[in-house]
Amino acid sequence: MSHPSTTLNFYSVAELCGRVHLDDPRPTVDLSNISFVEPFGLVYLGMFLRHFNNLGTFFNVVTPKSGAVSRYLESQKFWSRYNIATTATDARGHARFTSLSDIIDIDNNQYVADHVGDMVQDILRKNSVRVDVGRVTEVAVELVDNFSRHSGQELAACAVQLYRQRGELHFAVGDCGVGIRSSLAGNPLYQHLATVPHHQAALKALESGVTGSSEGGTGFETVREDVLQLGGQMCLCTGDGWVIIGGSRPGAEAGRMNYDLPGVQVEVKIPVEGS
Amino acid sequence: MMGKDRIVSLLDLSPSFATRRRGAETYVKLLPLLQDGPVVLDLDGIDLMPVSFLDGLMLRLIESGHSTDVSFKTTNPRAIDNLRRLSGLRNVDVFLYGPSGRPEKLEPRHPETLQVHYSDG
Repeated sequence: MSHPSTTLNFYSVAELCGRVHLDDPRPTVDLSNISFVEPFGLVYLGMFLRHFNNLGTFFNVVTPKSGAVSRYLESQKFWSRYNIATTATDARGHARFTSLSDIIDIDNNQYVADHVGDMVQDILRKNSVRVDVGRVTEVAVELVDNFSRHSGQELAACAVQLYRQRGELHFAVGDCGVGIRSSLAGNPLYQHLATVPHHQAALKALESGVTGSSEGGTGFETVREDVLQLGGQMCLCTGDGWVIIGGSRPGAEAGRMNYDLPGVQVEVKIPVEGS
Repeated sequence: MMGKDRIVSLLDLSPSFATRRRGAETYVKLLPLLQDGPVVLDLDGIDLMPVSFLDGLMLRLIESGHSTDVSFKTTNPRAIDNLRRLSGLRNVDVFLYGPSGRPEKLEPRHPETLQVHYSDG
């Protein structure tokens, strides 16, 4: 997991959060060397800030030296949506994707996955993004529905980014809720997972029919299959566990990292044709 | 199932087909129709219908003993693949209303076992 980089992404963000001295009265988050941000990095950082905001901790932020990153975060009103002295409920900011470079807040209601699915489908079509829009939208819906059904949280973050030159579409969803292990352990069938490492619980959740609820177990399995069929990649963190599907090795790669953030943060990267 | 080709557009039963919850809601709308016999659910015109939606519907059909009273009509390859996945997941017969005008049992598809590589860091 240790990939020294000035890009805030799956490989670097947990390490950055792990360097924050949480014992300080007002800890400092140092983003000065960040020259590029990816959806996973933003969603994870947002959830890190929000988790501690909810516990009454607020942060000094050293903003990026990079003007482009600073301007982007300002344009997203990132600092007025995360790291603010209000309840998470009051932190709602952007609620709709207005571009393919956006991070939004999503409210947990029974139809939030329908709502996000409509938005994703609309924005991909309007921008003529050359992907299997139906399958990508189904992936987005399943990830948001997982948050809605299992996180126990009122609010999550959701980000989309199209990298035309790189030929990739990224979609990320993050919450700071109960996480996969606690969610699964709520089902008597999987009570025994309550004490296993987080990444083992996450791998279990990727199996068919495995759920923390009375029914379900199709969401993550659908996502992992669809991402592979699309030739993409899924990166997931829950607690101190991480899983990558579609990485450099076939199947899943999994492990532990040095930082343990509650909830689930996940990103899918989908190749875009002809970019 | 044969002889009564009552084709019902799924579009008439729900405004969305995205989630398990919508599948459960669709079941409630479908149940009264099933009292009069088998139904062919026409999936034409539906862009988005993940396995979770189908599963939310099918689990209730199984519970109420109606799983073989419903067949599905679609030519969308993704929808057909999702129906095959559903069949494999729940070990239930799923029927596709084909060009022959008869419901044909879909071959179930089971997910691949996940090969796992553990990392230290």
